[in-house]
Amino acid sequence: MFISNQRHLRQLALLLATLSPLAFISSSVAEEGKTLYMTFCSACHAPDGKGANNGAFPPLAKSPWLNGKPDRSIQIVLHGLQGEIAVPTDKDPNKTYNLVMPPQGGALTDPQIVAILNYVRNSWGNKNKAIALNDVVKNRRTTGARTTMWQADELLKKHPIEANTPPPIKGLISKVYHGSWKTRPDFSKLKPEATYEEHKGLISIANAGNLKSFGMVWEGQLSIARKGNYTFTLDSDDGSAVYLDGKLVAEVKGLGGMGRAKSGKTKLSKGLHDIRVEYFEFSGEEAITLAMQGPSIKSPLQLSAVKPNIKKGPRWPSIPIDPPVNGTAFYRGFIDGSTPRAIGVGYDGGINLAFSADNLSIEMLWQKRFYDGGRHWKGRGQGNAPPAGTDVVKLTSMPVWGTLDSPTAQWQPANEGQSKRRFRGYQLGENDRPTFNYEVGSLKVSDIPTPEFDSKGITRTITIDAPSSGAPENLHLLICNGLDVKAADSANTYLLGNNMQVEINSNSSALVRSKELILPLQLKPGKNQITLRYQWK
Amino acid sequence: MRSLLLSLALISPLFAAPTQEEFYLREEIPLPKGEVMEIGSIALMPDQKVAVTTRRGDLWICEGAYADDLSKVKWTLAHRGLHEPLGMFYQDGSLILTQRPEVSKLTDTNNDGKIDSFETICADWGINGDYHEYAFGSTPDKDGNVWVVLCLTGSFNANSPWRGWCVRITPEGEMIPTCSGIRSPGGIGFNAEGDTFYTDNQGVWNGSSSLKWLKPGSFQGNPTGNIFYPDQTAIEPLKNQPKDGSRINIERERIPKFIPPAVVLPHGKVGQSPTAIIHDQTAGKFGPFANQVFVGEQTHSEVQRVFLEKVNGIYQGAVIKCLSGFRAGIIPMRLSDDGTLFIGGSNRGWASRGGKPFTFERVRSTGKTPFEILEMRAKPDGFELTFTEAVDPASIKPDSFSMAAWTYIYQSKYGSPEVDQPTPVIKSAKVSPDGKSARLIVDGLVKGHVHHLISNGVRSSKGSELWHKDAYYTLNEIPD
Repeated sequence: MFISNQRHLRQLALLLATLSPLAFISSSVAEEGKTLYMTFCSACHAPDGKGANNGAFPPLAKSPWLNGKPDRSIQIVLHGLQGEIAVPTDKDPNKTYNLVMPPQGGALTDPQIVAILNYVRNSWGNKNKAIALNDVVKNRRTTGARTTMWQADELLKKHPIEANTPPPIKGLISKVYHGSWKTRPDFSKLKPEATYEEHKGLISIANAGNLKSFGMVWEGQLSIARKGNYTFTLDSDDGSAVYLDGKLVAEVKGLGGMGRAKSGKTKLSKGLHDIRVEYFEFSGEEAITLAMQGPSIKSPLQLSAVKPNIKKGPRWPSIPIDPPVNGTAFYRGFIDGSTPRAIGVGYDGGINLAFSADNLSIEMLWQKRFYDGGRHWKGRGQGNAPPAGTDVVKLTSMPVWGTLDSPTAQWQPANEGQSKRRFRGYQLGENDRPTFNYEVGSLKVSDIPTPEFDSKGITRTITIDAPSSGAPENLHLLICNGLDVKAADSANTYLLGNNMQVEINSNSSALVRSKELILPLQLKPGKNQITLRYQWK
Repeated sequence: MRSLLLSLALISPLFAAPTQEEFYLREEIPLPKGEVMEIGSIALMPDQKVAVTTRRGDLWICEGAYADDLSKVKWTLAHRGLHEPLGMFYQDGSLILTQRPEVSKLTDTNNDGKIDSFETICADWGINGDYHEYAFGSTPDKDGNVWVVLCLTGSFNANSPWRGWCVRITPEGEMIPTCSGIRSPGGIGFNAEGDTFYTDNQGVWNGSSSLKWLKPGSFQGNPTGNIFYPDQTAIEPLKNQPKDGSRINIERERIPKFIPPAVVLPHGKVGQSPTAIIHDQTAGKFGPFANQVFVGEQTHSEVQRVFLEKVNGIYQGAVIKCLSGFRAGIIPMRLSDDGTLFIGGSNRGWASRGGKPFTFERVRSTGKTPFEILEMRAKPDGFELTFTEAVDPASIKPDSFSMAAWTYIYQSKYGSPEVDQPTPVIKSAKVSPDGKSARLIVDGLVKGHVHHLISNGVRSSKGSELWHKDAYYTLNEIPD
């Protein structure tokens, strides 16, 4: 490797600067850090460290991810970071991001990383001890074999964000109760299932895990620096109450979402005071926030975890997609419950379906709202998003055109040679209603769903054009898999799961198997028609 | 005295640095109100209509985009509900789209302005729901094929069939696997000769973003997609696997199918996310760069110019910055025959210097020729520069130039630092008799390296300095 003299000198200067016991950052090194930052980092983090495009990308200014112990920031630069992260900003203390920071360890040399980190960790209000070259060398050695980016939660386990102030509530303990209540229960008569130490000193429902309905009680001590009147503001989904020295100060009653904040005042003397918070969650989303204000507290002091404690429900904005009046809406994205090549169709009138172009099947039906684009249309749009409506029924989950060697044999999807599946697209007719076209070997199929708004269902008309040379033998159509199937009272009608039925109109009888409904196809040359009438019960 | 100098500076064009406004007029095309127009593809249609698709999946037709008065543009919504199209062209009354899962033909059969027929031409590549499995599609090649480059799963893995490959889709819908070695493309297009190129972004096995030549049967450098060689028969699998931590120049000797990047777009210096590729077919209507290639740059919101030449059967050449100041990250570009460049863009998920969330713009030449390096050709002992205007012969001397060179580590890690820096020395610089070119004799050329030429001292015969003084030449081959 050639190194020009100038470069050599620069690296030496860097090395000397970083070896200084005073951890002094010379202006020339800071200058080098700034130049490198502008070249490699500023496109996303912005020249002023506030995050590009008005904070659409994570800020570095005052970021708890960057400040504090150096290993966390070194690791992020070396290996990159993905997954959702919370970065509180002045504008929004609950700001989260779900982007990707590509790894830079392969592209930047150790001295470059030192220069960049020392620049960003001491700019825009950040103040930290200088990182030494050896810090990066050591980090590279420890995680050198790593080939994947850090997942945010994985990194935080290894390099947690340091609490920069003493915990607001001292000796905080939380207790979790199992149960289902519509009003706040008398927790003194209940037995907790689990007790936790809350080292961060913040009210958080994280320890309730995935419980759907539960109660929690937190107890600790609040240190008051000056005597006076203090205001406590409480908000929760569902109900909650806060007590100071055993006295009820504020209460959010009964069931309901966030946005029902209640405040209460109490006089507190200098010293420690008992604080007790009670909370219960009945169903749906869950959250609790608590803040206090009073003498010598400039802005409201958060006593609850900075990030809202919403564990369930979407973390992206809602961008509803609805069909136009008398029209039809389409969505081709990753619809949860179907395949990547799903085509969502929403008819004006509250009937919706997902057609899988992979499996050549109407895989899902649902009612009311069609879809929400929020997940895919924010940031990079990772992940699948489910239908927005209700009464979702998943009819099939595999290719539905196939063969059955015997009534008990395993389902064999058609795929090879003569029976290759080929999606051919769709045509829109009146009110933009689609006809799906596809081929199964030499068969040409048109598949027309027709919504039935009054009787809450869909009639699917399948026309199979078979060549004069005849249809493939032993061809079957899988009508349902994964749901309990039972013959209903009326002829050729079957119950699928607990809220759907299908009436089959064809020249053959369906075969009911364990969680499968299969229709043998007896096809004549020319056009053959099958209708399937799905109805919610 | 001081004020005299100052006023001289103000009145004399000799002292003014050239600016884009002198040579190119960049204008924002008004978008339909209230719509999120994150433009992912553009197609030029008859009657001066322009079709655009959005990342959300909408298709709009714009009328009036060529008019002098852009305030009168008219937008018509043709459909909502496509799957992230990143490639589109017009053909015989239909629009051919490369959507994430397929190449499709969209037609308005009853001429009511709405698409009513969506014909799937080919859906033979895999997608698994990963957001990063993008598919960028070309305009048709001379045989009518659409070339599609398929991004790796998450830009690291090949978890779905044909990820990391370029495939050709014939008009009949047949898919022909064509090249392996792709990582994360940003665009695909042709040079004036009709050869196909794509841009690939810095990342694993890709030290810097670059413009790459999709020679059929070639390997483009990222071995992740090589697992699919056995699923086709036309191309023999690689006999040697690339060595991690090597150099492309060395691995090319071991892997004959390995086509090196035609032009490296040095990471950070030239850009961070190259995208669309077009060539100037307008024979002078878009400035003096006829037949050259232009590359979009998402992060820097710029358009860069590429001069390509073939040496020993391999493409190589130089990138020189060109247009800047676009309002969002550039994704698609189209250049119409009248010399109007249309660009569209978005910065959702990937930041850009242009701070708007999305944009649609057009650029036209003002008719004034910028003083630029038109061509930079490799010679056995240096380079030959051609300028867009005659130079001041006195300015063609070694002191007017400087040169740096480097390459990148070819490695499984993400990106690479610039390494192996020699210091090439410009020993002589001679102007041609017509004053329009200069011959540089350089000591210390290195095969495989990027050679960064800085031409600070060059002046035109009118005394103007170069609009862009930096040129980055990728010297894959040194001519005999």
